[in-house]
Amino acid sequence: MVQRNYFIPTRELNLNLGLTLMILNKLSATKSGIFNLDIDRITFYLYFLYKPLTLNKVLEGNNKSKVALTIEEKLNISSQEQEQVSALNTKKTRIILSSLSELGYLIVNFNPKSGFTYSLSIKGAELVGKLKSPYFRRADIFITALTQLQSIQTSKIQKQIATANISL
Amino acid sequence: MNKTPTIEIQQLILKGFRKDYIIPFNPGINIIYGDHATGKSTVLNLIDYMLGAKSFSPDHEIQSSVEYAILEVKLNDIPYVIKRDIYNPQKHIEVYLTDFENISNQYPVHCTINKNKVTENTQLYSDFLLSSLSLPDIKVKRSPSKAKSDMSKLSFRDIFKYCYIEQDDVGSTSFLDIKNPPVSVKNKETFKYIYNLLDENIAQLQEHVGQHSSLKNHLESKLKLVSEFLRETDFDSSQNLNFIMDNLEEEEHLLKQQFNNINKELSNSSEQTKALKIILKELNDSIKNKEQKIKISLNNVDQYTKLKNEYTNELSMIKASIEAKSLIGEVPEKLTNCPICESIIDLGSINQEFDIQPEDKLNQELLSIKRKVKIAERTVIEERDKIDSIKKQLSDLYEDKVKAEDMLNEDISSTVSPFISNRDGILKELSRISERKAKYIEYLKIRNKYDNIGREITREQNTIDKLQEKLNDLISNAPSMTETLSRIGSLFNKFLIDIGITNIDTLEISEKTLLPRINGKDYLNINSGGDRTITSIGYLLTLLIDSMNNELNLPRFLMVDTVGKYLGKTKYGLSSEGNINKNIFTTGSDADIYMNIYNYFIKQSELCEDMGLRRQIILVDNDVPPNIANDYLPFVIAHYSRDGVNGLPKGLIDDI
Repeated sequence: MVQRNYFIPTRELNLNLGLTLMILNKLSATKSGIFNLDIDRITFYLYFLYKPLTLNKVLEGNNKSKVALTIEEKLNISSQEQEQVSALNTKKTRIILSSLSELGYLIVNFNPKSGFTYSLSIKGAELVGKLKSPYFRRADIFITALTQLQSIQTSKIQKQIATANISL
Repeated sequence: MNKTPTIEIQQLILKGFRKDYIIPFNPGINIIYGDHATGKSTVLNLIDYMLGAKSFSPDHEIQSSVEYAILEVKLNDIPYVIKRDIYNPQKHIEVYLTDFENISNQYPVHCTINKNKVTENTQLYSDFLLSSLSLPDIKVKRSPSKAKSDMSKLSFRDIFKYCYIEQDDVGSTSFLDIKNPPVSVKNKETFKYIYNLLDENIAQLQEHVGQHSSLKNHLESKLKLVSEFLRETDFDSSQNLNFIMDNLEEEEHLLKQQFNNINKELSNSSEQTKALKIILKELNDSIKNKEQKIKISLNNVDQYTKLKNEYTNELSMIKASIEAKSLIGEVPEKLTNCPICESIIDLGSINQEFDIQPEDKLNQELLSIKRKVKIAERTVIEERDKIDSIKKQLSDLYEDKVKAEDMLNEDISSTVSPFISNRDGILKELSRISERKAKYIEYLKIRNKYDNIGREITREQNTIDKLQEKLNDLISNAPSMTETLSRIGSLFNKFLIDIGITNIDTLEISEKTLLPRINGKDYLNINSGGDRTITSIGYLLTLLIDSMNNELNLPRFLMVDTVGKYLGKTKYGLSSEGNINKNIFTTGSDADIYMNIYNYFIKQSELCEDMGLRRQIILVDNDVPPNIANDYLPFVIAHYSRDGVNGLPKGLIDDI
């Protein structure tokens, strides 16, 4: 087995902040305008961006359109690693949300039915438009695909993630 | 013409488990000598046994080496082969009426030494021997002095006593078992039989002529019947059958040669096949090895491709991180504005989950990963090149393998298969010939049986003729006991003079004992072993000599075990002046007498030869006088040395 590099890009905070801003930008409200982007959804949406194979499995499991993956996305070392824990680890998401909040890019919403949900501030929305690197543009395609899952219950998606990882 | 019967041993064959032990014999004098316990006496014991002795005691060497014995012998100049089990004397003795070479083409005649076991197909061995030697088959009185004495049959063994002096009998007081009164009485009757002195001889001879004539008539009828059968069944003649057998044997011999040649060639061919198989195995091993290398390289290509892709993805992520860092700005070390719980998150907590890399560090990583991408790409290319190269080598190996397989198949089909098929053909042919041979051997046996009946008729006619002649002689010229004993006495005296004993005052053959009486002393009263040795040997030799000019009912055949017994001879030389063990025959040294006895045997044998008479004398001794070893070597048929000195055989059984 070829050893991985010590430096792990997915642990880089700014990358995660950028990706979360993009998630907040497109997935904070449903098509019908309902804010349902809670911390759990942000957690597994972010997980899907790093695991496109798992994303396609879940989309396929919900009869949604899959994303056409590049060879690099399909055939690499980390795509085959099983990290179910991180899909449910909201501790990291809380740090990301605190950071974005501290920097003024985040708005926290609350209603009794959905609890705390999150969306972008105007400052945040302005910043998202500036994220143009190829990686972010590719992430945008995945986030667009994730809109198909907005109406699916969180618990169902979490189960599907577990199943998809096993069959990978 | 002198009609004294003759026995001539041709060869004694001991059929062994490991090998056969063969002792060939001369027609005249035969000398066997050597160290003690080398089997010299065993040779004479075996001849005695093969001529009907009741038992034979095989020693350990014989038991571990010999299965049974065969004696090829001429009785009255007609060849016979006698086959006898040496461990069970009661078993049938097989007698083939032919020489040794042809016994496989003959049915044997079965004989027994036990008169209770005589059947229509099993003859009493004594009768067979008497008849073969044309000796009258008569009964003698058990008590000759009584007018109405019981009669007992005289057997071949009674007569053969006068042909064989065993080691224990030479110079012994029990010579001819004379101390045993009933035996002694029968000996006297036997002696009279030998010399045709029995009153009953004429009557019995007449009876026997009648018996043999009946037998001859019976055989002639039998011959006629068999002859008709052979003629009606269009049976091949012996000549034709022998011709066919010769051809079959020649054919069999040639086929066996071919079979051996094919086996040799097959063995060579197998070497070639073996070499091809080794080559094929080496090729298969190489192919397996190369295929394994390809598998490893393909796995490497897969792994390095995944790694390259991983690095490529990471490059994009790092670039994105740099961009995000420049746009988002620095994250404060303490985050107090938790959107949910208002709790404070410090930099330590952030660093547990995330890395916050400075921009230059990220740029360094960018360069490092770019290099790694290139290395991974190069490695993938190298591995692919390696795969291509191995595939080319594999292609050559596959071709070589196909060639080797073709060669092997060709070798097996074009070389080995024809051999096997050819060999099978020869085996079938050999089996066919073997079946035909077995069939023709049976035919030959039937034909030989027919021929044997003819020979038996001739033999019977000869017996009748001889008996008739004897009868005529007896009627016209019946010998008297006194004349006979006087003649034997003269001959015995001549023997003594010839061997150097000149101090005899009176010598006669006693009418009472029928044995020599020297200087008034009967044989039994001679105290000296040496004197008795000379007397016992001289007496039997005298009877043999007498048969040269007179027709006796005693085969001209003599076996003496240990001629030099009780004689004070020196080992090599004639210098001894002493007479160690004698008190009657006081003239001449023992060594001279010892040498003279041998010379006398040789002289009498030569005299027989000059007269055209058949005879055979077998002498066994521990040593021989030097002139025998020097001048009469052809008479020595066996010389044994326990230590194998000068390359001599170690004994009769010479391979253990």
